[in-house]
Amino acid sequence: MRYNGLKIDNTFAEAFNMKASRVIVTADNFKWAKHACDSFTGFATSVIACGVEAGIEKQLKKSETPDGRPGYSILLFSMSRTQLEKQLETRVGQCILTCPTTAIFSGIDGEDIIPLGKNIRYFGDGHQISKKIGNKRFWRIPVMDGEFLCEESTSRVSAIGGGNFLILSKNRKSCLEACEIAIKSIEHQPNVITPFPGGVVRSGSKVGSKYKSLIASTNDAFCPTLKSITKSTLAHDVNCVMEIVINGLSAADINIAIKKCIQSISKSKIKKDICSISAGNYGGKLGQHHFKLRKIMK
Amino acid sequence: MRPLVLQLKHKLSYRLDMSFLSDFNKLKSLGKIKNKKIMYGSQEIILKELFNISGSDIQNIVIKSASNLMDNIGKNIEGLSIKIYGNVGYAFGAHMINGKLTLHGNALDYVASGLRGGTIMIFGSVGNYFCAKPNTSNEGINDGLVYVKGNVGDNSIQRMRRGVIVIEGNIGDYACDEMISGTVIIKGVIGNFFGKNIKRGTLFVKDKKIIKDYIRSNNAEYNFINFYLKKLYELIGRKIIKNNNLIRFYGNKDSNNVSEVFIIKS
Repeated sequence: MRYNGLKIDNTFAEAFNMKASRVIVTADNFKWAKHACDSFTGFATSVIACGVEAGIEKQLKKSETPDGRPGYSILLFSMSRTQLEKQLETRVGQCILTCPTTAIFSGIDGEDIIPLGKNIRYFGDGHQISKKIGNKRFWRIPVMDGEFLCEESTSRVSAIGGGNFLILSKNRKSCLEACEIAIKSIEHQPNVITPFPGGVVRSGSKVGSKYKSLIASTNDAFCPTLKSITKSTLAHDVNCVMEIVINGLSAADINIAIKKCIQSISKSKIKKDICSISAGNYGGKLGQHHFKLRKIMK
Repeated sequence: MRPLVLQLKHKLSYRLDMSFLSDFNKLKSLGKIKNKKIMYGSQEIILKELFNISGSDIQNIVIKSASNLMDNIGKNIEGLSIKIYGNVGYAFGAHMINGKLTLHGNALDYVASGLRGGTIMIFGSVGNYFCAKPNTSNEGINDGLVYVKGNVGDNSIQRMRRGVIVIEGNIGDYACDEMISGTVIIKGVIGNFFGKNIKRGTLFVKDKKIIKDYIRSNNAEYNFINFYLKKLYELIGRKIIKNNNLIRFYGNKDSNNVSEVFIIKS
């Protein structure tokens, strides 16, 4: 199948059920809100070793935040409730509480409540003040720049992690440029994040390894340097492959994001260097969700 | 669906206990509501003998031409929204669990006594023992939001545990007695003996006479104020404190008072 001249492989991305939460971080200005969010979402690319996958969802104007200050919304994804709770509290305590002028609020409503500032409040050493407005409780924790305001809890919802597609290109420069165009196209799309650095992954993995202790290893079928010695899926002219991983609150959100990304590449001049668009999967047996590229692009 | 409207057929001669409103959720059908047995004076009568009843939405109730002989309106209600036009009697919204009461008139004593949640909006004045500690409990209001446009009587807001109280008018003597926590906003004049044995809580007041036992706080910035006022505006639908120029005073730990007072500069 060709979409606007761009070859789309007949394959699918395999994604998994995850648990997600959203928080809103505000500060006196965007600069400090961004510092806090960058720190909060640092080392949160993959649940394999980071515990949680997190990213900035979007920038929020003053009118969009609970306290009328500029801020960002962040989405966090994890495989288990325990990990999500633990990572959320740790990151709030170390990255948001510590950052000047910031405050943190829940950005999602749901029935499954998880702590946000519930335990962070003890940092106030008895001087913390609780304020309940409507059904929500907030904590005012005295800190050296005044007060740190945080909501007591947020919610956890079902979500999907690992939606992806691969860009197969003639060279590295064009591949990276195509990735940047794709990421930019979903910059403002709600309910999705791309947790990897700059939204792009170069180390796609397969299940298992020749080394017994490893559960995953390099996806040799997509490594251009191994074309001659492995069962490569790459065509002769493919010299670089990069992956964009998309986590979303629903399958529809991921579908839209994948479509937008591919559309944006197909509209750019760089498409002449793109050999095809493919997707990463594990044979379809591991993930609960399959995102079929051709179906999405129809 | 049209709200359920209760209108008195004739002027009341005796006090009427309106706590039967909390049973409307269980009755479900209009027929059952019309035939509900209530006590009036020393007699047992059915509701439709006293009220003209129309409408079908049991969750939304309107009481027209209310009387100050009607006591316990909103008592123990859960999830109902009741609008009342006219003055009402004692214990308006007492022990309310959740829901919304809107009163376009005045109320007598014990308004919101033992409130446990929900919202009470009163566009009038209320009597003594407003948000007071009920006889059955050692705590006053436990949660919820109460707004009074007019004045409030004596002995109000006793042993408040949490929640938000907004009073646009004046408040009488012995207010905020043994306050445990929560937020109180008083825009009018405050009576004598305010905040006796107050422990914690946040007060926004215009009347400066209560701050003599407090220590002036520094000029640190408080993220929560703008946020809190914004939230209150969303809940009440009107700007309570237009001027954000507040001066903070903090309690004295030696006197076991760690409450905070924000003086509203006029």
